[in-house]
Amino acid sequence: MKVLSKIATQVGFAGLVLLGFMLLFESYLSIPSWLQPFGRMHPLLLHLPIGILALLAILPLARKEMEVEAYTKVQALVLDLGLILTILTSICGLFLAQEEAYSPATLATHKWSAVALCILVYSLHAWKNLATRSPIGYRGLTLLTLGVLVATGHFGGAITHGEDYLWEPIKPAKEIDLAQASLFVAAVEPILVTKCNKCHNESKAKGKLIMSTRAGLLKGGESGPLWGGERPDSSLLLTRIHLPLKEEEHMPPEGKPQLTGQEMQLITEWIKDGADLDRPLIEYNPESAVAQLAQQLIGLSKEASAVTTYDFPAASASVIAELNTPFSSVYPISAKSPALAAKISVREYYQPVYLTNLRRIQDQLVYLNLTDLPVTNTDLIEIRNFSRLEKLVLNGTDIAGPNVESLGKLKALKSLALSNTATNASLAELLPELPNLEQVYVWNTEIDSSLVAQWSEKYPGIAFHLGFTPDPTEELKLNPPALVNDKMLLRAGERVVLKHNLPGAVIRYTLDGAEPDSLAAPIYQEPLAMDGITIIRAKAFREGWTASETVSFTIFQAGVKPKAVKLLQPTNGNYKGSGENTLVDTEKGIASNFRSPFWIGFRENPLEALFTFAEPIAIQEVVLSYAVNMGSYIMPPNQVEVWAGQDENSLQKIKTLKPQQPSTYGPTAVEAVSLSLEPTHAYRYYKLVAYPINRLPAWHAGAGDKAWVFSDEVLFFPADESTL
Amino acid sequence: MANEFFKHRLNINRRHFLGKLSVGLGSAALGSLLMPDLFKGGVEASADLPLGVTHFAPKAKRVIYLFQNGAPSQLESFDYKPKLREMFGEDLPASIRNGQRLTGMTSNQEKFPLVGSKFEFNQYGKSGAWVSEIFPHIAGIVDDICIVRTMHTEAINHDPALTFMQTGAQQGNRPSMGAWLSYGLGSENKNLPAFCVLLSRGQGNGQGVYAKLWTNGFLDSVHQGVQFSSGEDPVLYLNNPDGMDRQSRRRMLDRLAELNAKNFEDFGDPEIQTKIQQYEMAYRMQTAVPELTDLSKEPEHIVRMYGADCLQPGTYAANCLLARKLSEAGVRFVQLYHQGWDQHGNLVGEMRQQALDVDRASAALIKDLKQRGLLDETLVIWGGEFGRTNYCQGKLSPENYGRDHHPRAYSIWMAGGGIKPGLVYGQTDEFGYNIVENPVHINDFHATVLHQLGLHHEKLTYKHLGRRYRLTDVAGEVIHDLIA
Repeated sequence: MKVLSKIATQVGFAGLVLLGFMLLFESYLSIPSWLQPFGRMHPLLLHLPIGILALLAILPLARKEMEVEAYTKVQALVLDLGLILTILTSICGLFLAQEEAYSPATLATHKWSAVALCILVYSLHAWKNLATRSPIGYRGLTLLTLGVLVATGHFGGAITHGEDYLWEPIKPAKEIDLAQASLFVAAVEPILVTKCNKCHNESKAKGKLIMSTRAGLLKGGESGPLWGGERPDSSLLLTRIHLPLKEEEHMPPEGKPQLTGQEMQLITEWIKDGADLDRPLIEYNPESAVAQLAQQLIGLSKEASAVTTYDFPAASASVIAELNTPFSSVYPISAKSPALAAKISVREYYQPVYLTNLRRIQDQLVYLNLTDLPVTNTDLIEIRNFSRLEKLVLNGTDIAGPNVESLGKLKALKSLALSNTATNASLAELLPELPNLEQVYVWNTEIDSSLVAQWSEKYPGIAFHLGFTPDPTEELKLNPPALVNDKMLLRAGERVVLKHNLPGAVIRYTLDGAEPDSLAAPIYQEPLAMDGITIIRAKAFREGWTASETVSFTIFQAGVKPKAVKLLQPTNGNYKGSGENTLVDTEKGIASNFRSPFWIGFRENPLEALFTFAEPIAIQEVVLSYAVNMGSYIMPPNQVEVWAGQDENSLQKIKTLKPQQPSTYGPTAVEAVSLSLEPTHAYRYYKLVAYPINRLPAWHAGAGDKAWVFSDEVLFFPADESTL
Repeated sequence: MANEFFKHRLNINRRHFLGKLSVGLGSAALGSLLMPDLFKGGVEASADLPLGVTHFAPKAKRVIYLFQNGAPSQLESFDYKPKLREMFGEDLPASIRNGQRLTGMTSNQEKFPLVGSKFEFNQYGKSGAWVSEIFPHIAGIVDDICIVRTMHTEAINHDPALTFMQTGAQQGNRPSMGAWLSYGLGSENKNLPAFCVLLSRGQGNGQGVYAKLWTNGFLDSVHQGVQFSSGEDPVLYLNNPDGMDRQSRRRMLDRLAELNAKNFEDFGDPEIQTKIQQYEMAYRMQTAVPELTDLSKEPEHIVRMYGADCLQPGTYAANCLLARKLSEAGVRFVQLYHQGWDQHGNLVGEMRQQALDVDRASAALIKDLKQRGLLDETLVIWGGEFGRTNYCQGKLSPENYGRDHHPRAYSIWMAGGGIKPGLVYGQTDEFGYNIVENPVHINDFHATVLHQLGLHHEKLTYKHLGRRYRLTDVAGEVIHDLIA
């Protein structure tokens, strides 16, 4: 301890002498390069004396907790360290001050307060005995030291971070009047402030460049002027900001916030345009690149700072919460805005009191949506005091007439939607009352195009929207009738139900495969009974419309269900459906959705399934239902065979059929092939084999490739129909 | 849903409390960070509610997403490339393909013969945008829409691409866009789900859609998309069962809510609260939904506008009409999927049919929103999960061809919601293969959509498994050029 104290005294004294010497001959000093790193340690070292000296000031608070001897020792240690570090830091600082171009004024304040600090700390150290003899005097000196320490630290901070650094975040943002400001002030300067001025200001002018003042910008730095000269696009500033990030000379340096693409573009265009510091924004041609970029950036920064145009007082959160019920929503238009939007919903539950309640926020409401509610003219009286309302949506409400008494008071209204209401020509009385109106929506009201033409002339600031009016000459096609039955497989006694949703449409149908025509084909009137496999073709007709496409539904009647089914060759691994039962589960699939569990698919090998009945049964017809989806290579089978026998190991082929193949692309559909058998023979086992096409025909995109066979159901119709 | 974060804090038990104590002091200091404008004065700082309040004033209040599932070809719709016709049958130059990956379906083709659109293109509107002849009605509204020709994605197959487009990640299990918006914006009509899903299927080669595309992921399950049925009753089991009237249903729900509330007190599982809310909403939906699906208030010329099939439930046109009604009623996100756009073969036939399904109704939806004054507050998006190759897959003939998947450039369009109308954005090369100018990545697209709804994509986060998640994950920039 004693040793440290001695060292401190000597270092302190020598240091003070050195400091004094350096200050006296400062202008003659030149720091050798090997000493520069020492100087640059200043920003690191300075934190140590700050901490230690702060400890010195706090230490007396712990005095009562410690024995006197211990306290004195600790205090001495802190003082020794404090002195050594203060002196060391100051010397480093002086070295650093020689090196970089700092603003002389700020630097001087920092330097001289640091010198004062050194002297104060040295005095404290020298008179530490005072601490016991005159505690009050010593404490006063300590506090004075602390004060000087804080001041020195602050001035130092101002050098590196700029004068406004500390208080900037809580200063109110500067408002720029766009009608008068120059483009430079409105759009370019804000970029320089955030991205450049931290290092190029009057206090800290790296490269001797000051970008925070006009004079500095025009003067440039040690590498020359920033812009001007023959070729503006290769000026110094542009070169530096456009260099690749990794380049030493790129600005802002790697690791510092970079210019965005838009900011770079704006600066480029502004310099090319002559880099005028004073030309007002409004004098630029609004079409020019520089003006457009500036406008964009101004818009962005406005958005980013979420500056709202609404400055009226906000409603209290509890009022807003009370107004939010299941049928009424009230919410601020954004997080920092006092403006509110409201929507009331569900016609059946509407009560006028919902609207009355909104009077509690009549000074904040800017948007109100009452779509499809049974709101009447009387109800609207409630909103006459909503003086800030900008958009009012009344589409589909029960209002009528002009409502001058209530709507006429909404002086801030910009947009009024009256579509699908009984609004009529008397709207003319309301229009002159609303000076800010811009948009009026009157689709499907009694207002027609001649009225709109008349009003548009009178009120050129208002856009009237009549919306879609149908062209009576346009021949529109009806949609085809729909099949109501959810399954194509009819249970016993089930009937086929067709439907068309357009009132007045007539459905005509045929059961013989013929095209239904508008005169001869029977009109669908009641559900139809079916037998076996039936193809219904149906078409919708209505006056003033073109007839629909013909739709065709293949309706199957459920057959007799085998006791068991077994696949003798595997399905393709990707299309296993619900396994072998897929074929007898009485679930039909949709041809476009062949991945569903209702389909099984075969490609590498044929579909070969063995059906076992409990006892021999005579079957007169076997039906294989399959998908046709040509784009996905799913075609009718090339050949279908039925084998039968009493023993599953000795079956005989009893029927072969080649389904008709398409000759070009056709619709995606479920089709079926029916194989009629000798009704006199009863067998216990039936086997069905369906071979995929080996080579797709030449017209197909996959010509030469192997096709698929997809089946969703195999049906057996017994010779004796009573067994069904 | 109101205030999940708050509820979560209320659920802290002793172990949580002790665990968190170590960071308690730090949290106190950080608390002030949550209110950065505490000292700035001005507007009364509404405590940073994470939910139901937008970050800044939004342009759009709602979204209708007309998803064309299966990836419609950009070369037959909005990206006109006459050069491909000139070079019919010639091989795709290696300098254009640049060694980029292809799917397994065409990577082993010996040749990559270029093929131009079989359909004619014309310029429409003031913007002079090129649109294919199979979309005559969309061509009629080009001045109301913004066509983006330079979307690009990272996935090359349907499922990951679709999942990426909808959830911001290829692997699934993340919340869908609609769920994020429900979480970020809250509900505008508490009698309907904030996120509804409508499916339809065209006749073209289709690809599946799965519930994972409208999942709430790790968000509260109230944000999950509710899939409407494509039948006559869009929401099944809404009617009270026989023998139960509305009063008995009410009493039953009240009693059930008491039991659930007791359970919640015991276990503190927030999902119980969700369940109570869902029962209540379902009860109110019994009234709200029939009002919506009742088409009797729609005049006949609405049918002429959307086409007659809008009256047939389950069609794309019917879903567009229903989407408008849901959106008009305050549903934040209506997600349509129209399947059948995967034209690997028979493109000419299938695409014509698909276009016929969607063209009139898509345009009608825009016009319908516009005539009600709702287009400016509703963002409509139309497009698929990726594009299709400029070369033919399978057999090439002058009459017909197919196209494989192409993730490096494709076209979508958007309308309303503060998106710049009448704009054609971005430029692909003359082969329609690579992007030359103004690319829009899926993350950028998501960031832009969120931005239009007043949400900052970097601030809309949810902490899960120890880190904060966003729809845009760790990327994405708002494309300001798309914004009006």
